[in-house]
Amino acid sequence: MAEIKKENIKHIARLSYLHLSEKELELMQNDLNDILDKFQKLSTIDTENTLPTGHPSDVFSEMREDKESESLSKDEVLQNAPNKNESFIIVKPVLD
Amino acid sequence: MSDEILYKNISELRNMLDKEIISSVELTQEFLNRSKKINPEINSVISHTEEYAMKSAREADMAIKDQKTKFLTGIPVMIKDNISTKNIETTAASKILNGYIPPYDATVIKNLLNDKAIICGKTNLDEFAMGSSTENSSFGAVKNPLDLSKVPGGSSGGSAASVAAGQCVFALGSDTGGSIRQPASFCGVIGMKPTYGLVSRFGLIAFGSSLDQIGPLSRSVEDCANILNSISSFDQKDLTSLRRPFNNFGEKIGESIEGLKIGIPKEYLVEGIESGVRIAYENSLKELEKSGAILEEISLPLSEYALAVYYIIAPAEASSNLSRYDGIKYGKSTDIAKNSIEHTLRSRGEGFGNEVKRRILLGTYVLSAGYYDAYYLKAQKVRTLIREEFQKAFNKFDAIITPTTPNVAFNLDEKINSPYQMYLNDVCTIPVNIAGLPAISIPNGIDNNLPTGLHIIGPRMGDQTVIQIAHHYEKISQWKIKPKI
Repeated sequence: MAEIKKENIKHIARLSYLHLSEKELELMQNDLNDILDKFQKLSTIDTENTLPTGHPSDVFSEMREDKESESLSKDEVLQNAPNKNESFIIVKPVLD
Repeated sequence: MSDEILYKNISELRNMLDKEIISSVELTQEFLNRSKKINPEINSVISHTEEYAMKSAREADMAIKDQKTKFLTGIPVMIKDNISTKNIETTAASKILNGYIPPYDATVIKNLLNDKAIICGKTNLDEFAMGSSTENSSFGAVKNPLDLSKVPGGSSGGSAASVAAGQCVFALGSDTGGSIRQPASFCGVIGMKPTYGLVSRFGLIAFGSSLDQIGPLSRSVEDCANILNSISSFDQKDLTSLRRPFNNFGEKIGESIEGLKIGIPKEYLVEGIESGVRIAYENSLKELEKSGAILEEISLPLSEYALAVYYIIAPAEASSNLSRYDGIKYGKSTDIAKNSIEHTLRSRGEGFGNEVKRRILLGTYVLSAGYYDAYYLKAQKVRTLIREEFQKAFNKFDAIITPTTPNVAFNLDEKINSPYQMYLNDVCTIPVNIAGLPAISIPNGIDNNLPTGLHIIGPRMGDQTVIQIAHHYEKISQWKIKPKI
C-alpha cells in the first residue's frame, strides 16, 4: 500500500472535522504510516469466500411496539449546550 | 478503626453490614476519607461524589434495618468516568466533554442503584478509553498504587487502581480490547469482560461499539460473579443486548474442575514475553493440572492477526462514534470561529487529545474511498475467521488459558511516545473482544515485585465456566500485594 503523504493526512483531517496544527500533521503522518505498515500482513490471508463480521452477537435487531414512552425533557436536552436560548441551541452562521 | 476494612471483599462486608457491626454510612465515610487522602498521589479518581454517596448510604442503612438487602446494598463502588451518571459530571477524561452533566443514568448504573450500591466517585481513564496505561487523560496520568513509578494499565486504570488502593470495594470498567483485564493484571485485582451482549452498553460513552463491554473489577471471584448478577440485564435500549441465558453467573462456583478440558495456545507465549510472566503462567497451569483439569496444547494461528484487525475495526467505529462531538450540543466550544464548519473543526481540534486524534484519523482513513476494501472490509472478514477458529477450539475445550499480558506494569512515560509498542500490550486480550467471548484476569504470581495475571477465556455464554475455573484457582493460590501508599 502506498505511503500516506501529508496531503492525504490533510484530506483525512478535513473529512474527520479535525483542525490540526502543522506539527500535529507531521506527527500523525509518521504514526499512521508506522501503524499501517504493521497491518500489511492481513493481505496475506485468503478471505475469498468469507463474509464480514459486523458485530459478534448472534442477536438480530428486534422491533419494539410503536408506543409512546417517556423521553428527555426540553430542558434536559438543552442543559449541556454551550450556547443556547430558551428553546434553541444557537450555532454559528452556516453560510458566510 | 484499622485499615483492614478497606481491603475486605464484598462477601465479608455484606456479613458485617447485615449483622450491623458497621453501618453503610460509616463504611462509606471510611472509603471516602481514604480515597480523598491518597488521590493526590495516584490520581485514580476524577471526582468524588461525597454528598450523593452519603445520602445513598443512609438509604441503604434503612434497607438493611428492614432486612431488604441485596448483595451490593450499602457497598461503596467507583465508576469509570465513561459511564453516564445522571446529574454527575461525566468526562471520558476528555476536554471535549468539559462540564458535561448527563441527564440520564446508564443501564448498569440503574441496576446498581436498584440494589442500593453506593457510588462514591468517577475514575480516571485514557481519554475515551483509548489507551493501555491511563496516561492519555486530560486529568493527568494515574499511578500504580503497588509501585508509584509504574502505570496502572488502561484504559480502566483508575478503576483498577482504586480497587487495589482501598478507595472502594469494587469498580466498574469498560473493555474494548483488554481495558478491564490488563489494568486488573497490572494492579493485582480481578477483572472480567463478560460475553458481548450480556451487559447493556446503554449510557456507556461509545468507543468501538462491536467490541465494548462493561464489566467488574473486584477483589474476589465470588464478588465478580455477584456484581455481574446485578449489572447484567436485557435492555431494549441496546440493540445488541442478549436475553440473559442464566440467572446466576456464580452458579458453578465450588464445582470441581476435574475433567475440564483446557486449551493452551502456543501462539500466546509471544516473543518478548517476560520470563517472570512465563514462569507464573507455567506454574498456574501445573496447579490446575494437579486439580484434575486436562491440559492440551492447541494452535490458534489467526490470533497473530487479531491486533491488526482490532486497530482497523476499533478506530473505524470510533471515528464514526466520535463524530457526535461538535461543540454544539454539549462540551467544549471554541471561542475563535467565524462560521459553523470552522467552529466544529476547531472545537474538535482543541478538545481531543493526541491518541484520540490518531485513532479518528486512522479510522477515517480505513473507511475512506479507495481503502475501505483493503483495510476495513478485509479486517471484518479476518474477524470472521478468528471467530470461527475460536468456535472450533471450543468444540473441544471448555476454556483456553493464556497470560493476561506479556509483561508486568511498565514505567510511566516508557511507551507513551511509541503508539505501536503501546498497542502490543493488548496482544493476548484483543482476540477475545474480536470474537465477543467472556474472559477474566486473576492474579497468578509476582515478577519484579509486581503482579502477573492469568487470563481464562470461555466460549460465548461460557461465563459461568470461566468463573468456576477462576474461583478454583483463587482458592488454591491467593496472590495478594499490599499497596505502597
